[in-house]
Amino acid sequence: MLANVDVYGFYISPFAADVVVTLVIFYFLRKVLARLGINHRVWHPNLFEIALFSIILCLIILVQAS
Amino acid sequence: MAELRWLPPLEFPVSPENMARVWAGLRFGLITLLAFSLALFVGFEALIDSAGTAGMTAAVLSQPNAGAVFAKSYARLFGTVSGGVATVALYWIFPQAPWLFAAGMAVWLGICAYWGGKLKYFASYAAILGGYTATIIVMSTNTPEVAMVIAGTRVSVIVIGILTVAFIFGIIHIRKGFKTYLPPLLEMNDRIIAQARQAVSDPVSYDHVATMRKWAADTEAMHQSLVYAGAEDPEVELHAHSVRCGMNEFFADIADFNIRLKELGLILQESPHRAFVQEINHGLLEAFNARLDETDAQADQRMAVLEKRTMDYFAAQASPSLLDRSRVLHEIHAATKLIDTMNRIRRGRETFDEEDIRPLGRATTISQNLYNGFVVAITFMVAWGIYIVDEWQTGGLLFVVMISTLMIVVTVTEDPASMIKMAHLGALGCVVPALICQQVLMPLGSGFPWLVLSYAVLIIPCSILKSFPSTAGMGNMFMMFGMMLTLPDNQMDYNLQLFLNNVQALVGASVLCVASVLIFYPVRNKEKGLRVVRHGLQELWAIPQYLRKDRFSEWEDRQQERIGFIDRIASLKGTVVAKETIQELLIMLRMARCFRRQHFHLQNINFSDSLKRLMAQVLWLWPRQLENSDKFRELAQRLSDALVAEAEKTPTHGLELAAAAQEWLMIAKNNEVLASLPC
Repeated sequence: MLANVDVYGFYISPFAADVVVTLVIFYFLRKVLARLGINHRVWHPNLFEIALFSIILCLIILVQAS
Repeated sequence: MAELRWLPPLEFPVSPENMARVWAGLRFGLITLLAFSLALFVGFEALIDSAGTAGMTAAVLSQPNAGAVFAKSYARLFGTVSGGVATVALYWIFPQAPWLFAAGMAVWLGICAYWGGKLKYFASYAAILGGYTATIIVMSTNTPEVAMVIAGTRVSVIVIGILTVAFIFGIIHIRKGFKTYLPPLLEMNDRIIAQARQAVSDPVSYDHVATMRKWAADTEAMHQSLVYAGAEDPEVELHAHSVRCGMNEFFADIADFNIRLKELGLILQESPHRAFVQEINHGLLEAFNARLDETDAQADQRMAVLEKRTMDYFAAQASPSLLDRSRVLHEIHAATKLIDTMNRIRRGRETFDEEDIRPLGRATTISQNLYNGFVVAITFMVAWGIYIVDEWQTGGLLFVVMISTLMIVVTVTEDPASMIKMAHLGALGCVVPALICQQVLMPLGSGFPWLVLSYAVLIIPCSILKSFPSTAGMGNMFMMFGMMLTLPDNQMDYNLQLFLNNVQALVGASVLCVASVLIFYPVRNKEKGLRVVRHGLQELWAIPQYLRKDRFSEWEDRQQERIGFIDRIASLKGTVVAKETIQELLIMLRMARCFRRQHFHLQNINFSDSLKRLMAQVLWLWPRQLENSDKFRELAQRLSDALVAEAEKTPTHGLELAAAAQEWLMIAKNNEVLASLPC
């Protein structure tokens, strides 16, 4: 069940909270991928990163909803 | 004094370069419009009350440089969250005390202005945003409970705006990696060679100040573009960090090498060693030419050969001049250090350097930033007073938001008086397009596509402005205030009275901002230059405490920042004051390096008591050298002579003593120039 996230009475929409969490995960994951040189193996790095971001975000939302 | 322009010069017919920028601006405007419409669409579909804020976020974040968009997005998220938390905290601390609440808000704005002036690039933007986001939330509510909801909603819509703009730019932009940033790095070597050639061929007319002034601006621009490149591509970020580490000492090294070339050229103009020095200079130019094809070891080997030739040449003289030998050796050392730094920058493209990047902050002092914070806080309190005392119900809070935004944006720059002109052109210039957009076009049609098309009147001109470096800041203001005036929401109404109230708030904020800047930052160009020189001198007198490698490098960085600082003050452009100030800052840089080198040359040598006494006297006079310029020069000259005499007596330390003597001679010469300058 998705509900507003209560941070000491400060209500944030669940989507925004999920995005913030995803951004943190994505920030570090992006650095790791850069170190491994993954970006050289994909056709369009930006598109790849957007897809990766969306996957992480959807996973978080799915886990939260279940 | 150069004329301070309100607008960049218009030229007809439009040059191909400007035409290309206009086309790029149009393309960028269409992308911005796309990001704006997507953010608005998502906001409307999600039934968020302030969906317009998502569109505004997308439009404001949009930048011609994709790297800047991503860097700005992170900064906006951080700034928004911190601003939201600050407002909610203030509501809880002062729930029933509007004046105390206002005082708390003023303190928060002051803190944001302080950090906005201290930090650089988008870290500064995050601080600015933290300030005015807080006031925007205040505008929307009067009670703590509602503030919680508003703050939460605002964070949500801003997240939507950030995501949409990152999505659109992510899809459209194709990463070019380092290719985009390589030209300035490659051009660096050619420029140094051209400058060295000029300094060698005609040292009298060689303008060291103008050269270093350009290098200060270019080094800063290079740092900034590397930050954006890093934000765009994580792999580039790792290398960009290394390149920036390599650039840590680049400016000081090139300043040192340039001035040595000029000094040596001037000193040895009539000397019998002139032909030999020309030969060495030729060798140094060859080393720069061959730099890109040589390994570090080969470069070192080449320099070692030049050094050996110098030693042999002077050893073969009947009565070798130790000072002239030191001068030539110092020039070779300066070139070696510069080549080493440039090679480090080149290696940065392949390595991951974990060292800290310097300079990290601006050269502004703590007191100056505190003053900025104080000015913003006081102006906010005055604006709050106008709002409360006049019971300004409609538009009053928008007035408070606008004055807070304008004041923070203006005070964090080096030159508020010039910045205010640009900010006003943007803020007031958006009124007509905003009026056409909201009061003429929007009522003519209906539906989402028409709404978006109406906004093209605002977004397209603004994007073209953002595409020109000289009007980019104005474009940002144009976009921000234009959006504030026309912000769309779920229940669009085209109330002209409401629009005029908002315009009234904008005009009121502009007037108060001008008044505040004129009172707190009176336009005295010479004062600005003097202040910077005073700070530089204070640190030069304390240089004996900055001799450790890391502290000395930080000191040099601050000098570099000061030179850039003078260069960025628009009202000083092309003035004698600016030239003299930069000249003085460069002399300080030179004197500090000379002082540090003589210290390391002499630190392990035991010399006679009389020499020690002389040294103690000179060091005592060091911080008082401008008040007692003649005395200081005389003592420095005596010290130099004594060191040369000591070098002749003790051949084991001959090189070090002669080198230190040369440094003191240079310090004396520079002191003379420094004392003769009017600043």
